[in-house]
This record gives sequence, C-alpha cells and structure tokens, in this order.
Amino acid sequence: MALDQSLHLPTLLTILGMAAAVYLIRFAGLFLARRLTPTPWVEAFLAHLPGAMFVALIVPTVIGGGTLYIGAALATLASARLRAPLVVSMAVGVGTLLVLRTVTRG
Amino acid sequence: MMLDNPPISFTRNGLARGYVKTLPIAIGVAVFGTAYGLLAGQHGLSLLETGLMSALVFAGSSQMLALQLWDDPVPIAAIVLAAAIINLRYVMQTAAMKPWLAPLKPALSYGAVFFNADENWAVSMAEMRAGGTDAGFFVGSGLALWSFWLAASLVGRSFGGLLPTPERLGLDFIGTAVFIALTGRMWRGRRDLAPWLIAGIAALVGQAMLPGAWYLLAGGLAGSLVGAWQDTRMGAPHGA
Repeated sequence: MALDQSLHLPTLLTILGMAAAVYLIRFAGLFLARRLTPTPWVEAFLAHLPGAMFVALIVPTVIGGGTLYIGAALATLASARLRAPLVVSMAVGVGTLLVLRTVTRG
Repeated sequence: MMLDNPPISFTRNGLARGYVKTLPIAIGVAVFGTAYGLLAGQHGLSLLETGLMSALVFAGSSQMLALQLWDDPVPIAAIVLAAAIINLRYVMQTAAMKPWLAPLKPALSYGAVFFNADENWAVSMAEMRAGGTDAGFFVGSGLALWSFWLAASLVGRSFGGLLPTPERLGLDFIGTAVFIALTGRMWRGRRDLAPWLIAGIAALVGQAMLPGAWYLLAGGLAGSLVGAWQDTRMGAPHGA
C-alpha cells in the first residue's frame, strides 16, 4: 500500500501538463465567446452543435455494434421520445441489449 | 442584446438541482471511471496518481488516450498534446455556455468552466434550452460527474480485477444509451433533420478515414455547419 501512494516526477509532470492543457481549452471557449459578439450565423452554429456532436458520437458506435446495438438504440430513442426519465431510458437500452443478446444466443 | 435575456442567477438551489439531475448519468459514467482506474493500474500508475489525474484533468477521453500512449519513459509532450487535441470540442462547449456564464463574475465563470465535460454540458444545455436561468445548475452538474468520476477511478484502481466483464451485464451500452436519450430529447423538429443526418454521415466517413476520435469533431462540425447555413438562409429563429 505504501508503494501504491507513490508519485513519480514524470507522471506528475504529465498529469499537470494534461490538466493545464485541458483547462486552457475549457477557458478559451468562454474567453473568446465573451470577447467576440457572435453573428447570427455563429449563434445558429452553436445552437446546432450539441445535437450534431451527439449524433456524431452515437452513430459510429451503434453502427459498429451491429444489429443488437441498433435494436437497443432504437428502443432507447423511442423511450426518450416518449419523455421517459433518463434513468428509464438507460434501463430500456441496457435491458433491450441484454434481452437481444440472450435471445440471439439461444 | 443581454436585455432580451432573463437575468441569470447562481444559487445553492441550482447547484443541488444540477447535482441531483445529473446523478443517473454520473452513475453511468462511473462505469467508465472504473475501467479507467483498472487500466491505469495496468500501466503502473499508483492509486494517488490515478486519482490525481481524474481530479485535475477530469476528461475521460483524454485520460484513456493518455494511458494508451503511456510508456517508459513517459512521452510527456505527446500525451499532453494528444489530451488537448482530443478535447478541442470543449472550446465550442464552453462558448455555448456563454448565456449562463458570461453574466457571472469572471472568477466564478472561469472556475465553473473547469467542470465542463460532455455529459454535464449536455444536461446543462438541455436545462438552458428548457428556460433554466440558474448557472449554479452547471457547476452542480459538473460536481456530480467529477465526484463520481474520481470515486470510480479509485474503485477501479483498487478493485478493478474483481468486477465482472461489462458485456455480461450489458453495461457496455450505458454510455451510448445516455447519449441517445439526451439526443432524443434535443430534437427540435424538422430543422434538426439535415444537420443530424450530415453529422451521422460525416462521423461514419471520418471514422473510416481519420485517426483517433477526430470523427467526432468531423461529424459535429459538418452537422453544425449545415444547420447554421440552413437557419440563416431561411431566416429561421435561432438560439433559444
């Protein structure tokens, strides 16, 4: 356990460097947005960003996961469109995947 | 311009609400946190180092990538650069938080951006879009994610070997399910159709042609570009 609390200099430097770099990025977004008045185009762009980014995150994972993932994804999406709470949607997705896995295995 | 917007507050109540509303997602993220902790141990990071990285960097994709690049000696510059590049999307995310953060005192707002991560940003954007005006929600949401991320990292580093494989419980789908559920609620009607289609296609093409997680940026940018072009061309209302 004594070994487990060790702190090596190269590791510490890496962690601090990563922390500084990632914070700088978080800082830069707000800093720039504060200084520059966004044009209607930029505002529209930012308004579309969340949805587009999530779709970009989801689609390759679901397609790459094959038929079972696609089925589970559709079930999750349906529950979300029916305004189910987040936890319920998560359970629907995971549950559907488990059922599909069991069914296709048997 | 600011006169059109409702006044922004930062209250304890908002903090608590943000924390509670993000709990389900934080629990899902904890699954990844334990995976990170487990991997960190396999790469020789101590418990202290594993926790320190989660507490200070607080960016799952950066931390996972760092472990993939981990070596002896540690390629510090390459890891720091890679960690930054993979999280360039945070620039656009904290910029989008401006309606909540800009009215706050600079010290508070620049402290708040530390807590920006994909999941709590998404929850906060949804709250903002639903008319929320309490910026405390954003920090509370971030604290929920941060505390679970850190705790899960430590658990994974300590007990990772004892956990069942995620596939057996369907837990590998949790992250994806969260994002699908959030996206499903974000749908604003037909104006989202073309941007989302383009985002999905660009992400698939990007995944086939680009290294690492660049497909995410490719899809997000392509979809948002199409959306901005479409909205300003038609003179449709934007923002909100």
